Amino acid sequence: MQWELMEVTNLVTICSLRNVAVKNSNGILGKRINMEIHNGDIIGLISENAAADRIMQAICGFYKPRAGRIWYSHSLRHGKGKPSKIQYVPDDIICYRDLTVEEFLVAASITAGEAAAKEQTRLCSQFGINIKKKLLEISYEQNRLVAYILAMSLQPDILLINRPTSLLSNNAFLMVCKELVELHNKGTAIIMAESSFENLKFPCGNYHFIASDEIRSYTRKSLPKPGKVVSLVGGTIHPEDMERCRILYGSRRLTKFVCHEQDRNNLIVMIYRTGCRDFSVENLTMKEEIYQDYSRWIG
Amino acid sequence: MNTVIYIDIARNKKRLLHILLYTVIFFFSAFIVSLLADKIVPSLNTHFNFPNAICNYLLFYEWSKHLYVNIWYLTIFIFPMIIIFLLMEGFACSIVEEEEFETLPYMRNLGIERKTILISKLVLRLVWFLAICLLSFLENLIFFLLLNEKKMILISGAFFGKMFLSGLFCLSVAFFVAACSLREKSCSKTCLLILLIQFLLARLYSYIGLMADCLFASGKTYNELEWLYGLSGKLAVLRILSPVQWCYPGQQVPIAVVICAVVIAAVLCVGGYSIYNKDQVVFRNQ
Repeated sequence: MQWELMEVTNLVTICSLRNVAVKNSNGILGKRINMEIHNGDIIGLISENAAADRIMQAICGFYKPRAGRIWYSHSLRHGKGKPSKIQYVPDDIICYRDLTVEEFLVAASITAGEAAAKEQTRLCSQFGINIKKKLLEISYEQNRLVAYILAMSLQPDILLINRPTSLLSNNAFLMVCKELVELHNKGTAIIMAESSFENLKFPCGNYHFIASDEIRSYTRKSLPKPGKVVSLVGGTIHPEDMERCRILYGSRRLTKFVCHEQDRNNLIVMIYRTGCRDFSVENLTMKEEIYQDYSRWIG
Repeated sequence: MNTVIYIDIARNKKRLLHILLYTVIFFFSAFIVSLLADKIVPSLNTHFNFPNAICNYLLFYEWSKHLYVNIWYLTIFIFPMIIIFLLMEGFACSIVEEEEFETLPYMRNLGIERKTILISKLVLRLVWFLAICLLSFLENLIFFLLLNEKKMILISGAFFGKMFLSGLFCLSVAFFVAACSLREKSCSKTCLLILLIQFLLARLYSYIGLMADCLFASGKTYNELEWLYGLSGKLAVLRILSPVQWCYPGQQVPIAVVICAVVIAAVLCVGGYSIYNKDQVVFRNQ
């Protein structure tokens, strides 16, 4: 599906992270993290550990980073008793026991005002949520949608979404995406955290891959295309196998091949794995591609 | 603050109202039943006339001719314990639940600070507790007026007033417990344990005294039991440790103890607040 995302011309930095380090009880998750958030940005934060979650929590102020600073623009200032300009959608359901959707949204509109209440009503009917039911009686998907509704109705400047597709079906996520596009077109910066690139189903302008001691950033255009790995019979490679492989994949230029030995014939790269009866071609994940991690095939 | 109070009321309205109603209904039904019993079976009250040892143990001033007064004395022996436990448990668990179920982000989204959440929950519980104390007092005031027991009006007034103040102290304990149990699932057991331990410690002297009285009644001489009475007298000092005990009729609370209680409550609140905010940052709103 193609999204009609408006190009934001005059980018203004509204938040920036400088040498931020985050950790949890298991240790350091990421350090020396530098990042700029502009109005209208769509950023994907990808980390296998919980670094992306932690960074989000640090941006919205739940968590104090172990090192570094986070700077906010004056435009993110909100009046006392007014909704925050930074909205966070956790990856889990809303666990308020004995509270109906309606009561939850009414409570929100006490702070957020009439405009937000109208927006909430519109989104609830659009997403097909029964507001009379209790939060823990509706489905997981609907519960998560309520969290989205709350965050989106408050018209934030920065919207942080932890695992956007979690608990959502494709249809539900499509509905959310339409609203996200509208928010983005109004200038909201959207930041999404995922554990793998493959799960990030919304097109982002910038991608940050966070590992324990580094952060690699790519724009949508500079993002490397995932490669493929050819696994062949172990021991000495039979020339016929090589030829078949070259004809099938190399000559078609489907994609690049990776390996630890340099090129033979037209195959750029090959990885040998013992015990295979024939060669096979497998996709690299984005993480494996970016970090050149071939441990699935070697060793 | 309104948002948090609204959510808390919406979630706990049944529980809070039930406790309030049960309290009112209990006193009311006790009054009606005792009134009927006094009319229909007047000898019932005298049949239940406990010996002095048990009267002392159960905090009776003197055995009243009205069965309701005696029932009231029996009730208040355990009543503050139950209500204060419900108060502590409700307050502590509502704080822990916000952490446990990770509902704080939604409050943060609405621009509500942790401090506001805490104060709102405290205000709601205080109002509820005040309502229970006031309603119970007013109800008993009417009943004692009807029974023409003017002395009991003063006693019950002092009792419910002191119960409210004890509740304030216990709330600070509950807050400290909640702050220390933020990563745990529930802190109701801890609250119950704290209340039970201090209650039993404070009543230890009366158990020993009761035991000595029983031994005396069974034929032992006073000389043989002197050490037991002495021990009971010494343990009576422990009464001062129990906030529940402070509100009992006849219990004198020295001003030094009140000052100590205020200082301890302040220390618990400050300590609890620091622990509560340990891993958190105030949103840098600039």
